[in-house]
Amino acid sequence: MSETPAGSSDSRPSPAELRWPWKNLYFPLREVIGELEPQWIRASTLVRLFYAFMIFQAVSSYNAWIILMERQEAQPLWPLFWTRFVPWEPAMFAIGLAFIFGAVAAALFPTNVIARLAAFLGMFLFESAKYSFGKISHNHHLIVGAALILIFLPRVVPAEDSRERSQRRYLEVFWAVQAYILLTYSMAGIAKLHGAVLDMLLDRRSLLSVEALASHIAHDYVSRGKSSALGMGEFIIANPWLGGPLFWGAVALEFFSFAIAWKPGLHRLWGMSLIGLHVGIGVAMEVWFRPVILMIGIFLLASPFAPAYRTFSFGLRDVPWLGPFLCGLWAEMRSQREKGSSKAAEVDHITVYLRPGWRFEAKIKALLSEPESAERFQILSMDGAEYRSLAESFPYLRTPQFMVVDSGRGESRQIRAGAEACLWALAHLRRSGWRNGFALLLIPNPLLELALARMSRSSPANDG
Amino acid sequence: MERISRPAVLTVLVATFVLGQIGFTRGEIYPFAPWDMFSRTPSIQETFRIRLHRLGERDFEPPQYLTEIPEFQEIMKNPINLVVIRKFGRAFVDGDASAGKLRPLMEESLGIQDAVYELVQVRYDVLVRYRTGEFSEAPLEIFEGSAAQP
Repeated sequence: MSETPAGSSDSRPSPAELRWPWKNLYFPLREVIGELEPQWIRASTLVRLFYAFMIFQAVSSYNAWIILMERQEAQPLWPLFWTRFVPWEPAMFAIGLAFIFGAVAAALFPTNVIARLAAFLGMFLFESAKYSFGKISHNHHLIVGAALILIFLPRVVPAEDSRERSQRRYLEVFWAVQAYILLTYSMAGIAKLHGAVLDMLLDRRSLLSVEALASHIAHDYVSRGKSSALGMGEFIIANPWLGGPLFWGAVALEFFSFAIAWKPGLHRLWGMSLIGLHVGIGVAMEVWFRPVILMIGIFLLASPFAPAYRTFSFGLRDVPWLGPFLCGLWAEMRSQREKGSSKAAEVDHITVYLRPGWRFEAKIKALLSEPESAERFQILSMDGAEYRSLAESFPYLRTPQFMVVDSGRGESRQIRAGAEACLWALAHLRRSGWRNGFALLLIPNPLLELALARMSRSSPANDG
Repeated sequence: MERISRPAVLTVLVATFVLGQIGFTRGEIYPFAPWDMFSRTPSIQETFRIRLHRLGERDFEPPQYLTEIPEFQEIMKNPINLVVIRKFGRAFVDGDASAGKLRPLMEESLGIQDAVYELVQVRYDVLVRYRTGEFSEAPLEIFEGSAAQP
């Protein structure tokens, strides 16, 4: 986890959070929320942009609104149960008006909870009506879900004493929208893995087949009697070996998405990758999720939590599961290429702080003191004045830590704590970085994080 | 709002996952989608198609599938219409009562209220069908659209 000097005392875990580790998984988002004021300013601007986008959606739905009023034979979804008691056409007229006026109200007054509630209800009912004819499509689900979550945005008050707290809550709600968007992709990844198991059990062509993507495209073309304008789909059907790995990569991208909510360093990269996924689907299958692309753009590409500056390796380490391995490999490659250069010296400036009495203290010390790595790592105790000085600048470090790594200089300076620090340091061992990374590849990061956190809590050194 | 924001957004996230998973087997509980698009790899497909015998005053001899008739090609590119046909076909084959409700909805979506049409069950391997055009078909029933009935 990286932290910037302007943290908040609110980031300290409460006694309940220490007792129940699962609470640490979500709140208070130490890895995500850093400098409150600039992040809050960016987030509140994006919220305004989101509601402007809702106006665009409402206006774009004009033709659908007219058709809705004229249509008969609806099978209303549950939110429209009340349409059984009123005539359909006036009900649809009212819903259409609610959609546009709700969106306008929220765009004008995004700090007003009634306006945000109206925006959600208007779009929710309108979309429910659109999907009351036998098929629910998923182009606008993310907008409805985001509007639902954003209802709970707190008002950020100017008063000094509670401003930080309300800004933090505001950013948490904004983060929840990002998590919601990413969760839907992980659910899509889970569904594909589940489907693959079923297909294999039934001895059918499955996700593991190189022809999987070609089959999806062929199925789409056959069903809808069409093809892609650029011929990309036809190319993949003719060359299934190309589509297989592409599809597996897409499934991995989807599956790991939810974890990225906690990795602000990857918000932009992941957002761009998801947009790329939609562009690929659109070009190959002519199935476009245009509103979804803009939602990803607003909430992930423009993420207020993404660091302004990030080196390639610092982004790499956040990649789920493969991160430590890739990071170790990258460190190894750099060390070979830049041996002796001034750039290498800058990266080599790594200070490791260890808590005395931590159960892995001796082991980590021994590893970092190997002849090839000793010159690179400066190992200090957390009881020393240096660590106290560091904790002054980084309030998060005042909470109990078992290991902290301070690396880089200037803008590339990064502070890592806990299991991440441990993984990062091991992956940066000069001689055997990639091998350690490879070993760590076998352990899912969140499990290691939980295990180490638990160990550190049970350590007598941390009891005080 | 500040006090309830944490539990509220956490509830939405949990509901998104839990209700989505329930919807995976029991049908979507809007707006909590199961997000299961492209989850099963198509291989041998059993699906349903609509073959027109007559549309208004115009006779089709031999009967033609909607995808083969130029004025229906745009309509048939809409995946929603394909799903409605598939749902109606499945309900009809299973003897499900929902077939009666889905039929007028499908006719309205496709614009075939004044047509005489046939529901056909087709079976094929998607890649073989795409590459060679081969598929097997089983005509199920001939219907008269609601506006075509005397």
